[in-house]
Amino acid sequence: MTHPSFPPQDNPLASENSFENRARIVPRLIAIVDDDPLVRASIDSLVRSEGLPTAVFAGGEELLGFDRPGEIGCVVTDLNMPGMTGLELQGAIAARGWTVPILFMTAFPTPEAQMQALAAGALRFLTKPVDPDELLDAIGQAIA
Amino acid sequence: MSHVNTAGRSPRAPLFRSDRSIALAALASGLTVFALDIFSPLQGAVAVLYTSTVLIASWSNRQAATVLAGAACSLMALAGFWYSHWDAPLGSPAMRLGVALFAIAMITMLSVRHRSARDTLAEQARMLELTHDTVVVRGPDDTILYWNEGAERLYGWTRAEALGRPAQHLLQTVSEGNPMAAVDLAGTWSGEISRVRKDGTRIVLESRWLARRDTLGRETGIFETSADITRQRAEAQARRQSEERYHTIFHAAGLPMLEIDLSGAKAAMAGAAPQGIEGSDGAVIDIERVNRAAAKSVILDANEAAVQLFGVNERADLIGGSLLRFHTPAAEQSLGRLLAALVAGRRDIEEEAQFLTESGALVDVVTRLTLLEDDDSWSRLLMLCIDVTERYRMQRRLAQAQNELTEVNRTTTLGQVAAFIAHELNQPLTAISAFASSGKRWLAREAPGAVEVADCLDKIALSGHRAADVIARVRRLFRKGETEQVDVDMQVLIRETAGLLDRELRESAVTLHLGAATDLPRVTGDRVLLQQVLVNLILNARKAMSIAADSPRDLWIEAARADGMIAVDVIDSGTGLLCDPRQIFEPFFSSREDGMGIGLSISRSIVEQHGGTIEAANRPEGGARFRFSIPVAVQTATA
Repeated sequence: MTHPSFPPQDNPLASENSFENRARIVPRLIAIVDDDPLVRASIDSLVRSEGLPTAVFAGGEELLGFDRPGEIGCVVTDLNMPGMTGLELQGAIAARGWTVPILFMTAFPTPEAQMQALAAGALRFLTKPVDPDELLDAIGQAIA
Repeated sequence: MSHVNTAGRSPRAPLFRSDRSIALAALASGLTVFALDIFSPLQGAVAVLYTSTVLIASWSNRQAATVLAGAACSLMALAGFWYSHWDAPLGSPAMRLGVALFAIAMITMLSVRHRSARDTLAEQARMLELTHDTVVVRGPDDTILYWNEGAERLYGWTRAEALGRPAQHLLQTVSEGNPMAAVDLAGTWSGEISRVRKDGTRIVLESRWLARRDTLGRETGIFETSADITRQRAEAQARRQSEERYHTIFHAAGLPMLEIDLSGAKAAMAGAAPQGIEGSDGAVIDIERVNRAAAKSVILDANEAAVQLFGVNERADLIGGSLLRFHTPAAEQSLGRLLAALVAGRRDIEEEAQFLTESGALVDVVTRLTLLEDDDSWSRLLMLCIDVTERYRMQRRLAQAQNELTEVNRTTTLGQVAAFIAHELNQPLTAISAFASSGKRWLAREAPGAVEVADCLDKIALSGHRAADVIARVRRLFRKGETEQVDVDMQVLIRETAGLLDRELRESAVTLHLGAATDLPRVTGDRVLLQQVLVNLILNARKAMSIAADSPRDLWIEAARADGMIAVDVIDSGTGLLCDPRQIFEPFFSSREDGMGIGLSISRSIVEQHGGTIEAANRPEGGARFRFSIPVAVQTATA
């Protein structure tokens, strides 16, 4: 599942990721983590339609095993997933020292989970069904 | 009795049976002596014989007769002298007259004195015989001289057996100290002695001894009277032992015990009709009066356990004080019931109460009050306190846990359904929404991505199917065929469900009335789902009745057979339905802020799935009635 897919055209990384410019390039890869294939695919399609590169993962463990974490500009993750939950993923990312903005989506929001996520530095906590424009806005803020 | 009578009558010459014959004899005797005096040549010497007349007269029961005879005889002697010697000079006839008059006077006087002495003695003898106490006279050598009927009865020896025997030999007297010495010294002694009866049993006597003296003051024996106090002594001993045992138990017991004096409280309660303060019957308790009465209670004694219960330092801190010191408002009702029970004449009362200890802790106790005295003065009551604080605390904790569990159960059952629907529908909705938005963006690009758009539309259709699947799965949850199909005895189910919710109903002070119908046919269905209907309706009724604080809280659950169905009525005395009764079964309709509005909706689904109906209505007398009907099971319906 860890197949970064790029928009067929207008690939910013393809044109700008030259060796000498690398240091000043803001990472723009959007990591999408959701165990539901349809949801994952729909968010992937949405983000790509906005012209951003994506990488999709079926769970937190897959993301943590990703070989180019430095390119990730934002993580969009589901909260309730089998295995590692979204909150555990957030903790693991922090433990690895990755300073990447995280957006949560959930179909079953609880105040506790929301407070914990935001307290740990999550950028947004979105309730499913997610408003696509709101999600794209949040992603835009994350990589700005 | 004949014995006593003869002893009481004065001894009388058998010759004369009446005062009349005595008078005639005396008269004859007097006239004879007079005739002799006048006509005999003895010249007055016979006048001395007048004394016989006086003696005859003295046999009568009247002293006056004796005196009269004496006077008459003296006159006759004087008359005889005058007749024979009136003209003679004073000489020997006059001397003889003087002797005769003196003799008559002496005899008269002696007769009169003897008469009264005899009467007194006779009276005393009668009294000695009459008394139930023993009267025994002992000579100086301890020989028994007198032995009354009381002595015969008590010691078992007859008078004939006892008289002349040495008293010590017969009675084996044992006494504390030396009564004989005391009698010698003071002339009298009284105290307890023990003696042996003829049958060999030893008895305890309360005895009084009196020295018997002759006219010169020499002691001639002992006059004694005794009463049997063996039984009193045994009873007193038993009482003392019982009292000692009571005190030992009182002070050694691990249970807190108090002795209280409520005589003051009784006075304060005086005039209070028992029915006026009968708390348990729901009548009004006059709290003011109860408090006044409680203030007048006095603690007479307390044991160590009570000292610990009330958190004071020592018994003296309690004794003399009032129970009011540990009073709590919550205890007022129970104290009122307690006093009411006393007023109503009950002697053993059990009541739950709450006290505030010296350390400020609240203790729950079960008190048991017992009147110790037979009289009705309430002057001494034993109050036993069983500390049930810990038990109550456990009960409360248990009730709370049970409540939480029930609540959790309910929210999880409904919450799980809600969460399942929310989650399962949100996923495809999220996908549809994102794909739609994404497709639009692909189309809007300068070079529209036809492949991407097509993919988006495919996925939207897929997501739609998936949402429909979710709905189908939820429906299947309640669809016939996938649920359990067993014969269900509705009455057993009602009883079980009521038992499950017993705690909740009691917490809300709801009185449950279960119908008494028997032998109802069974219905076919899913026990768990049908129970869910009952739970929903019962809890719904409880909520409806909890809204108004002062309304009666009665819940009736009745099952009856009606047109091939079993109809179950759940009737409450609450506020009734404020809206259209048909509306309340709609999903997500709730009249309460905390209600999810799906309980009744789910109930309807379950009932309809069982081929039944459910309806709600307001009762004319207030409250609401929910009725659901489930068809009778086929085999039992035809059987």
